[in-house]
Amino acid sequence: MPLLSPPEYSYLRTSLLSEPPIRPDLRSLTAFRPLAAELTLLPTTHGSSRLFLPDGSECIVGIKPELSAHPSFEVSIEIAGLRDDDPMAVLLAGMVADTIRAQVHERLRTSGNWSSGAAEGMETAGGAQTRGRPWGWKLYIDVVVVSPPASHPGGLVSLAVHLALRDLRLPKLVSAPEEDPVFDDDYEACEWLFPREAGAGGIPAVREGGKGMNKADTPAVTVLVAAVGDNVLFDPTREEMVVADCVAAVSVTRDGSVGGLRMLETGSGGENGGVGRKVVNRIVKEVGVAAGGLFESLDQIVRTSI
Amino acid sequence: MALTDRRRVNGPALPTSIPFYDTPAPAPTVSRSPTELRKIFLKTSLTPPASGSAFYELTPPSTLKLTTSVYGPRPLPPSAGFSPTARVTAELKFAPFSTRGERRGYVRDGLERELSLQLQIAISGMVRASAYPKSGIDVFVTVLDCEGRIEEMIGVDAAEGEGERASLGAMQVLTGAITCASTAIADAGIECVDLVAAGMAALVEAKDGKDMVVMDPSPLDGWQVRAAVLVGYMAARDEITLVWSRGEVGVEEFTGVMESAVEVATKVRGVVNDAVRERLVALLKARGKKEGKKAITEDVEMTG
Repeated sequence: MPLLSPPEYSYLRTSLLSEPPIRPDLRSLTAFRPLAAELTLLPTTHGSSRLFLPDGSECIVGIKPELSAHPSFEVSIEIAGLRDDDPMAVLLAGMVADTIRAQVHERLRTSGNWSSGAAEGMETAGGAQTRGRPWGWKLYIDVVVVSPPASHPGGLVSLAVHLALRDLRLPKLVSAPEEDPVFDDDYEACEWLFPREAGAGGIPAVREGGKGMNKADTPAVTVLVAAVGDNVLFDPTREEMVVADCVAAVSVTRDGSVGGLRMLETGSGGENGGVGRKVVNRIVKEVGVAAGGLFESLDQIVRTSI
Repeated sequence: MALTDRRRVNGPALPTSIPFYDTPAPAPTVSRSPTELRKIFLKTSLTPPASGSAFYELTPPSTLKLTTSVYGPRPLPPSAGFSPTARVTAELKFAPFSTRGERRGYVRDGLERELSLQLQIAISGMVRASAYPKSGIDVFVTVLDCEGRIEEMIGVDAAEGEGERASLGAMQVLTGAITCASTAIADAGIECVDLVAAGMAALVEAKDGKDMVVMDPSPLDGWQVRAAVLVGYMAARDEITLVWSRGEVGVEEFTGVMESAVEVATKVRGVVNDAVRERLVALLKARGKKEGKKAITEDVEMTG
C-alpha cells in the first residue's frame, strides 16, 4: 500500500515546492526535529547514549572495548520489529561504520599502548597476538532502535553513535607494551577516546587546550537530506521522503567536508527519473554549511551531560 | 548462526590453496593516463531464456566480468499485493569463484545486499514504471570475476593490509553492474525514460604529494586513493540516479570529482548505445530478409 494517496502526495509536494517552502511540521528547511539526549546511562558499558525524537523513535547505544592486537571496531544494529538479517539493519550498520571509520581508527591508533612509536616497530607480520606486541582496543558498538521507527532511522542512529563515542572512556593501561596488560584500577584515570573541551565539568581533557577542536577530534555524523525540486530539506520525515526527488545520506566532518554520500530509497516506488547535477552539488554544499551548527549543538549536549 | 548455508555441500570454511613458489608479482604500475578509460566489451542477448540479458567485461589486465539477466515485466504474485506501477527489483550476486583467495558462499552477505540495493536505486529511476501496473521486473546480476579485493573500505589503515588500494573493488563492481543491467533492460524491450550508465572517478595522492583526479581508476593501478565517487548518470536527460562517494573530500573537490565521474559515465553511455543498437540492427535485418523471401500475406511472427 502506498503511504500517501494521490491528493495527499500532490498537496505535500506542492507545499514543499512553494516559495517559501512549507513543511508539514513548520520546520525551516535546515532544522532537525527536536532531539532529546542522555549520556552515560548504561552502567555496564564504557560509553552509552540514548536519543529520542518526539514521534517516539528512540535509540540506545552502548560501547564495550576489548583488548586486541589490532585496533578495530564492529557495529551491530538491532531494530525493533525487523528481523536480524533485515537489509535495513545491515545497511545502517555499514553506513554508520563507514561514517566513523576514519576518525575512530585514528584515535584507536593512539590509545592503549599503541601510541608509542617504539611499539609499532615491534609489530610483525604474524597473525596471532604474541608477547612483546602492543595492546590496542577493539570496540563493540551495539545499537538498539527501541520502537519500530516512524521514519528512516539513519540520522538518529548516527547521532546516537556519535554521542556514545564521545562518551567513551577506556581503562588506562599501566603495563608496558611487552608485558601482559594491567589496568589502573582507578576509574577516574580512564582516558576519553575523543578529547573533551579543556576544563569542561572538571574532567581533564586528553589534549589540553581543546577549544579549537579540529575535525579528527570528533567522529563524523551522517545527515539525511531530501531534495524536492530545488529545495533541500534536512532530516526528512517518512512522508517527506516519499514525495522527494532523491534522498541522500551524507556524512560530514566537523570542518564541513564530505566523508561519504549515498542515495537512499525514497519509498515512493514510482518513476522519479533522476536529479540534476546541480541538486547533488547543492545537497553537498548545504550539508557542509550546516555542519558547524550541528557539531556545536552536539558539543553542547556533551558538555551539559557531565 | 542463522546465516549458515545448510542446503549445499560447502567445503571447509577456510580452505588453503596450493602454495606456488613463484617470484612475487611486481608492484602495480600505472600504465594509463589519468583521463584514459579502459575499453569495455558489452554484448546483449546471450542468455536465451531471459527477457533481456547482457554480458560486460573489461579488457585485460582488468578482470571484471559480469552477466545480467532481466525477467519481466511479469505479473506480480498475488501475495505481493496491488501496485499501480512496476516493481523493479535487483539482485547482485558474486559467484563462489569470483574472488581471489577465499571462496564466497551462496547465502547473500552484507556487501551483496548493499550493492543490490544501490543497483536497484540506480536502475529504477530509468524504467517507466507507470507503463507496467501490477507487474514485476527482476534484474539479476552475477559477478563472474572481480578485480582486486572487494571487502576492504576506503580510509582503512594501510597497515591492516592493502586497504587503500583494494577499496575501489566493490565500487567498481557496482559501476559495471549498473551499466550492464541498464543494457539488459533495454535489451528486454522495457520502456525506459533514458538509459543509465555508470562512471567512477577518484581523488588520488600523486607522487609529488598533490591531489589529482583520476577517471575510471582500477583497483590494480596502485593509486593512493583519498576518495572515490561513483555516479549512475542518464546522459540524454542530464540526470543522476545514484551517487555513492567514499572517503573524505571538501565540498569543492567533491564537485570536481563528481563532474569527472559524470564525464566517464557519458563516455560509457556510447558503449551502451552501441551494444543496444547492435542487436536492434540484427533483428531488423533478420526481419527484412524474412519479409523479402516470404509472401506478405503470411502471418507476422512476433519476436522479442
